[in-house]
Amino acid sequence: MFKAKIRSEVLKEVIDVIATQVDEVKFTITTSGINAKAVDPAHVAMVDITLDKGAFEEFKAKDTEMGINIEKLREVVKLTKSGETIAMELDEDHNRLVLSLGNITRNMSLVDTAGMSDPKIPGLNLAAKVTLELDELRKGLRAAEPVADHIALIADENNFELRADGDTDFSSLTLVKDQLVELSCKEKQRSLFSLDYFLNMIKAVSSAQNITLEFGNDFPVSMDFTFADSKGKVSFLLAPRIEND
Amino acid sequence: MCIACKGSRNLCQKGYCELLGRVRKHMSSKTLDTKEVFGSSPPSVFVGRYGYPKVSIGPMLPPERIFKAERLDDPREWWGLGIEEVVGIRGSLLRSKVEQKVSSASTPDRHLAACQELSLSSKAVDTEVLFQKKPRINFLSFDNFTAPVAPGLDMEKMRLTQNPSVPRKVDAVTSDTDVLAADGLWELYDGNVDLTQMQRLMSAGLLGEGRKRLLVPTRWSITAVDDVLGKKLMEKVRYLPQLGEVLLYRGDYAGNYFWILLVPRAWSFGMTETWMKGSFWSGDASTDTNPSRTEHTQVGAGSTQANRNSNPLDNPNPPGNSTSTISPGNPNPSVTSNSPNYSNPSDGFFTTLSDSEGFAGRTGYADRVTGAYYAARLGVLEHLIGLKRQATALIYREITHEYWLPLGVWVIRETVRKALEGRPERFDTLNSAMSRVTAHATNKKGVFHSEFVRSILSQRTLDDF
Repeated sequence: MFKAKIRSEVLKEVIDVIATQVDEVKFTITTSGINAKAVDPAHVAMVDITLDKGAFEEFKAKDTEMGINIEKLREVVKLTKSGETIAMELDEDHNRLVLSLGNITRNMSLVDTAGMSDPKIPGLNLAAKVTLELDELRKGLRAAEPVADHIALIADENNFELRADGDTDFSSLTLVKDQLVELSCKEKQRSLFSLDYFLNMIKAVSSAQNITLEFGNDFPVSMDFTFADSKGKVSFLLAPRIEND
Repeated sequence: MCIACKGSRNLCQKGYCELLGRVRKHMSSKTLDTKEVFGSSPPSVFVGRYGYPKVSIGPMLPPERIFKAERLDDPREWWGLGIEEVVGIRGSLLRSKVEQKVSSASTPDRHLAACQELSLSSKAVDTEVLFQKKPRINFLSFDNFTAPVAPGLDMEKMRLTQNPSVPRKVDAVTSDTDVLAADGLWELYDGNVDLTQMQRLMSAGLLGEGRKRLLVPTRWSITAVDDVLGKKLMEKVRYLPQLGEVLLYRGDYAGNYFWILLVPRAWSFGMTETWMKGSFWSGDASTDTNPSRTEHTQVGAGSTQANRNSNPLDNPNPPGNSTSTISPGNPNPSVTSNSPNYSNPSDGFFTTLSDSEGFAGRTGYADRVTGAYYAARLGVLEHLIGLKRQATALIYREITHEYWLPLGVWVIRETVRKALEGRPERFDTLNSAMSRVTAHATNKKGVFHSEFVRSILSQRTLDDF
């Protein structure tokens, strides 16, 4: 059983975030909220998103699952304005989700979840932790975009740097500890990432103010942020690039 | 220079035309003593691209009835033949033409109706053509897309003197005026209709929704068919389980050397080509500095037995290809963008080009590798469907001086298909497979030319942690 009401901008962010990885997703629904985990087809990136029941206007549920085609859900959300409310009810007998928005009712058939296994989340111990303003990160990525197709994240005790080394050009976003919300890193850490993948994920974030990056030498980076008054949590994970000699 | 001369003005001051001498040996070059020609069309209908949306269309046929005429328009029959032999086969076909608006496909006059009827046939059809003048063959045009064709000769009228043999599937799809061209092609593919026939049907304006049907220049229809079928196969491949190991296939034909790597990852595709100095498009045939290729085994009959020391065409633009910016491997380096390896005169390489696409496929045209990209992609996708696996495919192609005349995009499609029929070498890691490729390739840097290849080599997956 699942019956809820949600503000359209919250649902939109959920959709944007999941759409960075997959077209179809399985939501795991419990009495305390909903969760989805999705890994992109190349197994390079994944997302783990949780929406606490407090993020909903109304929320009633028992443990269940539902498979959703993300683009279909996006079409429905597009019919609404920010601030409007969308009502959702799972119709298990007919295997569909019934959405109501204003005077519109939309029945959406569900995707079979039998073949959708939960992606395995690697257990990682990442040595650097940096929290910064999302706008700063965006600016650094924008500066890197014309320079190279990959970026390096570098942190030590006092600094965080996002740099791009191209064949001829170079760009760097450097922030000292005071300019960061949080920096914890004992030894210098450096890892390289595909700028395409990175941008694709960051572009999906709309409402968060701060973002926390955790990474380690030639290890993946996790990017965590909250939205919907901290009732929604997102964790992206991106595998590194490793330069061959 | 050669295109300006066409063998008649002695612009090269050699006193004779090397190219024509070479080509004429293999084809009847005499003027026929009648305007009326009767012969077995393979069947073949050629649609030119000049003057679009007003194009020339007409049947191609040898000036006599011959046994198994089908092979005159079937690339699968040519694979393995020497370049001269292919030219000889194509040179036996006379090309007739009338001018038609491309939009006339759904309201054909009697000329066009006859061309369309001919296109429907899967077997050779006895055809009669009355030319305006006594036909004479004196040159073929070559490009990277279409098989060599003779210049078009204006025809007065044509008539099929035999009923075309129309496969039921072809009849059903072409008479359905509600089905989109792409879906129609897919139905034909599913019904095992030959690729060449699909191209012919598309060219002759026999596919698509009724009134929207258009004649499509042969050159464009070839790549359109490769692209449409590739896209459809991709939809299936994306749902297949991933390959378990790295596979390397090799193949070569007529101076085209292929290395095809299948890597255990989600579907994506990249192709890189190195054009060597002395290959047709390099425009630098006189200084043949190509390293020997003794490390290669000849899979096909190839043309290597003829040791060429010079390319007969000083002007790399073949007739019928002028300086269009979409011409593949155009020797002007400003057109072949992204070619950092451009012409260090001593190293024997002319240029390296790459195109690629990710899991979701591409939207724009692969404008560096062009038609060869789509032909090769189709071959790979067919193979993956056969394996019931998905993979990332990397193709590296080297084109040597042995490929002294471009024969058409079928060379790529058929060589890729043949290579994939062979037994692959198996590797545990991509790195070891790549070192095998670089060990054999002449332009070792070219193997790593594309960002696509570099990123696959360096990008880790989450499964690695």
